[in-house]
Amino acid sequence: MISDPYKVLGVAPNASDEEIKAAYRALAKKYHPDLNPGDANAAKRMNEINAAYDQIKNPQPQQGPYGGAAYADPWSAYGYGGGAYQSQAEAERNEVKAARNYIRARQFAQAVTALSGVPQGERDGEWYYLHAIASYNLDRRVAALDSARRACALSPGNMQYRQLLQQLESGGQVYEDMGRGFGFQGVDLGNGRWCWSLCLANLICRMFGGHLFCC
Amino acid sequence: MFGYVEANIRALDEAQRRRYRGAYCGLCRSLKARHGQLSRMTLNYDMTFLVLLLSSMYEPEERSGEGRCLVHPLCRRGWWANRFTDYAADMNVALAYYNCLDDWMDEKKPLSLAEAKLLESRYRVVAERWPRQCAAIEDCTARLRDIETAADPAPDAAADCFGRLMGELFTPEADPVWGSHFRTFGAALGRFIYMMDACVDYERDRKRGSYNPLLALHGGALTQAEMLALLKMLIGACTAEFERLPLVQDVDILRSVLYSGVWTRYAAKMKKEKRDAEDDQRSV
Repeated sequence: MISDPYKVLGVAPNASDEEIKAAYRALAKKYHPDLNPGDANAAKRMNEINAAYDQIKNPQPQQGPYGGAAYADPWSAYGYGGGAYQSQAEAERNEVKAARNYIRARQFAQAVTALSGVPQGERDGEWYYLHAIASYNLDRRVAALDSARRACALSPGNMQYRQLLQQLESGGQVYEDMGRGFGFQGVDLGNGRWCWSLCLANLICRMFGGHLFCC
Repeated sequence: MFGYVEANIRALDEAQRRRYRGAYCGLCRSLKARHGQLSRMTLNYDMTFLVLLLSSMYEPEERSGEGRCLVHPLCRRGWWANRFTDYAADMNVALAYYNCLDDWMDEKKPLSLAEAKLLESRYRVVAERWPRQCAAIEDCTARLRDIETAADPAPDAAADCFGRLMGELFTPEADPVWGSHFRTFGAALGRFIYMMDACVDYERDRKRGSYNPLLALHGGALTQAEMLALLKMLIGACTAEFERLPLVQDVDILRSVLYSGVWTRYAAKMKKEKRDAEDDQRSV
């Protein structure tokens, strides 16, 4: 851990993203081992520069650039044990109980296997919620999103399910906000849902590779 | 699966357009020089993005020039290239070869088989030069075939598979510091492309009963809004990784691809579907 990564890169703590990247590149050009063969000092300096950049660009969750929300581990809040919950859990199938324990132990593949023992018709909101959590941790994002949606559809009033769905979709929101920040117009799907511009001229251009009419 | 990763030309200024098209022309020239006139037919914008991305990261020595060619016989066009252009040209041939084979096996198009035969000898050369990447293409294509014919395909399995392929493509050389970031970025982009392709083909596959990873979702009744949220989640993971990379050169062009251009084909398709649906309703 470097105490002041900004100082290593020679930028102010409030430097913009672009300034940080430019500073990193300028230093990398100076100290890169390929440009300084056999120079132990340069190699050491390059390591520091890499570590400083990494520290700024890959902050710990609590220091996240989006108030931590985008990077926060939604599943760290997965602490049950509440009395109200326990009573509900008694009526539950053993597969679901087992899956919850596997998730607590971070054995996500086993959790999915346990859940698959519940027949399709008996899968409730909690089943889909647990399935979403296990899937996400196995990096199966599509399955995670689908299960979170089904959990919400089955139990619309459950805030925990809703929060999970929002967290899964938050990356898409950050993407949209950033795109707008860079001045990009979004996609016009013809139904005004995410309606930014795309015109016929563009399509015609594309059909001809965009460059046949160059002169 | 190919041709999604292109810039939104309208979002670029004149200098950026020249730069982008210069990369494309450079790639086309590299294809001809390395693999012969015929290989130019396989050219698309996906690999142009790879050239720009890797060039931005490593800023290698560039060669450049101006000239006429078969496609642009009347005007001289500027081009630039570097070692990553040559790498991308090789990868373009490898991908095109497997794409043709795939089309032949799927749809038995004789033209695809003929094209694959024409590319075969060039592919052998590329495979010798880039064994890791070509092994990944070979392996992932075979695995995709298994997944697509499996009885109960998990929705992520195929996209992950294509993601792994792209992850390998986006890491041409060993780089202990940035290699893993490029692999993660490529894998996220691959997942997004695979799923976008599935969204574009959704209606067709549903009617035909063909494989589509999205048909397993939401009881096979995914709405456009749900598709869009899914795609934005996937491209969001990709751009989160992109924004961590220390890229300065051509970064605006790269962003115009990731934040705008990647939606071009999808938007065109969705608008057409909506129009067709409205026409159907009117005729009823």
